[in-house]
Amino acid sequence: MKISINNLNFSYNGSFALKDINEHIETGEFTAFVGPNGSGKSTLLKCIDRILIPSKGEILFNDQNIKYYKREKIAKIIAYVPQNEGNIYPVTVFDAVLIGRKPYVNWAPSKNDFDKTAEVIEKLDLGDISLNEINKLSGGQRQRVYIARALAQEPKVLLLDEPTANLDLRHQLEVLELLQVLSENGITIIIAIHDLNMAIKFCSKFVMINEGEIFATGGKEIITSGNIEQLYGVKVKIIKEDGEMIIIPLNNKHKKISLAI
Amino acid sequence: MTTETTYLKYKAYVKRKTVFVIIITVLLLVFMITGLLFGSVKISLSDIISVLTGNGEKTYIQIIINIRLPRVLSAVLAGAALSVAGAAMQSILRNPLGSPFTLGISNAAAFGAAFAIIILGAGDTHSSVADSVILNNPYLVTVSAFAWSLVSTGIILFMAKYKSATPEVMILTGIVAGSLFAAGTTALQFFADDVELSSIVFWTFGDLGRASWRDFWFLLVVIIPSTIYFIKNRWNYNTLNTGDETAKSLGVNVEKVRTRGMIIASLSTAFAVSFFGIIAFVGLVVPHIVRRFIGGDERFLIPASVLFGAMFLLFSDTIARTIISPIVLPVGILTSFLGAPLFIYLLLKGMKRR
Repeated sequence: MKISINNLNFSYNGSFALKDINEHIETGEFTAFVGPNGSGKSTLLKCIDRILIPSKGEILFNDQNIKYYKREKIAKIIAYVPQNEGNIYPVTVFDAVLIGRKPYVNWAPSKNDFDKTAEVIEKLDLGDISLNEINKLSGGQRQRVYIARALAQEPKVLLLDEPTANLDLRHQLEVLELLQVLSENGITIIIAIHDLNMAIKFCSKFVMINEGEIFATGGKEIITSGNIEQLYGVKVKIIKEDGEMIIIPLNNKHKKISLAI
Repeated sequence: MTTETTYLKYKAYVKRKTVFVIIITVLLLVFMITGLLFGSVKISLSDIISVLTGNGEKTYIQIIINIRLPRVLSAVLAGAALSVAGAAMQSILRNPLGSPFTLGISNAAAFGAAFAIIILGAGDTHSSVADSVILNNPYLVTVSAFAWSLVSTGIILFMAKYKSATPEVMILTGIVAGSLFAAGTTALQFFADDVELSSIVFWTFGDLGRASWRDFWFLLVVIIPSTIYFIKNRWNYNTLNTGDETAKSLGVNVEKVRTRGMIIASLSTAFAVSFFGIIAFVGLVVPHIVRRFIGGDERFLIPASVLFGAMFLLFSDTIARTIISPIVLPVGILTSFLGAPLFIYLLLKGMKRR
């Protein structure tokens, strides 16, 4: 499903968090929203899913304005995995994934809902831990469970806020490889991510956001040392190793924090 | 592992929860019969059966139909109401401290009772045959308790609706409102005379001895629809467990679910508290005890809390009536005496498992 964002604005208490956002994302594209902390990446993700309601502008899904969609209908199209999700009360992996069928359940889940849940659990290799309590899993396993829950929604678009935060290197790779496979299967994926090297390795499109505005958008060609320095205020060197780009930070242009001891 | 195996494994796991629900249903029925059997007058099971089938001796009919049966049924309803309200509040507010007591509803009701006794003059007391204190105008006390518990609920809902309060702020508001009402009750007590003071203290003891058929029908009319409402919303509460953003993304109108749930939970609590006084602990602890057995899935937690709460309060009341018979203890004392050690034991057991 292709997404068009036209002239989108969002404000918190009168001050703009997003300003005049225009972007187009094609079906099955794996897009990374990058930018400094507080730049508006997460806010834009939430506006796309209408968790936050934009103050101006429109979001079109296959040329249809989602403003007129019911919440339940949006939930069948878009799935969202927030940062720092956590269950307050203990539930098993199976129950946590089954929740993803919520948009399809009226009174009680059908056999089809259970089958879909079991299918996603198997696909994501969570079968052996399907009855384990989710709060007792490792960070990587838990992230896979949340992605499984999102997939149980059978979405056309998958939004993830910092899906690799707090994960070790192996689990970061596992999660991003999984998302890459999903995008190859036609699901449009958008992630907000801080790790530029991981973004370059897996994503096909980049949207650089700064202070609520789009700073640059495009393919790997926009990942230049100049753009990164302007965006983050950090000098970087970009080298190529086995044909892959690697970003190495050099020094911090901003004033260093000095600790008087 | 195949998809079918994963599903079958889950089905077997769910079956265990169903078995738990069946066991507490059976226990509840057993305790209901026990509740009818025990009391200061010994009545055999066969006599109870003949009373319930429309035969039986006149004295037994009087004891069973007019005293024990409304008390047993009211215990079931009040226990169910307090527990399901606690379970719903804990889910809606995403906070394990959610309960009628922590949200200030019980304290507000107690203030309402004190207000009726002292300011509205419902406070004359006299000793009954059973040597217990009876309020001169119990209905005025009940209405006032109910009205003031709605004030407490209103404060929390105002914060939620117009100040976009987070669940944490709602809990804190409840605690602060509870303290305010407790201070109000203390102030009224300070100016009360001996008789009024004893009436207030008597009211605040949670006591099912006041149960009449009229109370039972009132409770039934409120508690059955509210329980059905919570059961209907069990999926919404399951999504809230994952967080507000995920719930919204799953198609849930979080604000509406939270506000409506709080109103209904507060209403059913206010009804139970204003009829029977403060029955501490049930609303807070029963959902936690149930979670220890069957986990946090609201599809089972809500109905199981209804049954376990009913069973727990009925069991406590039967003990309260018989432990130092013929003196009948207020059930509020027993719920804490039984519930606190049980809860601590379960907490310790849970910790060891970790």
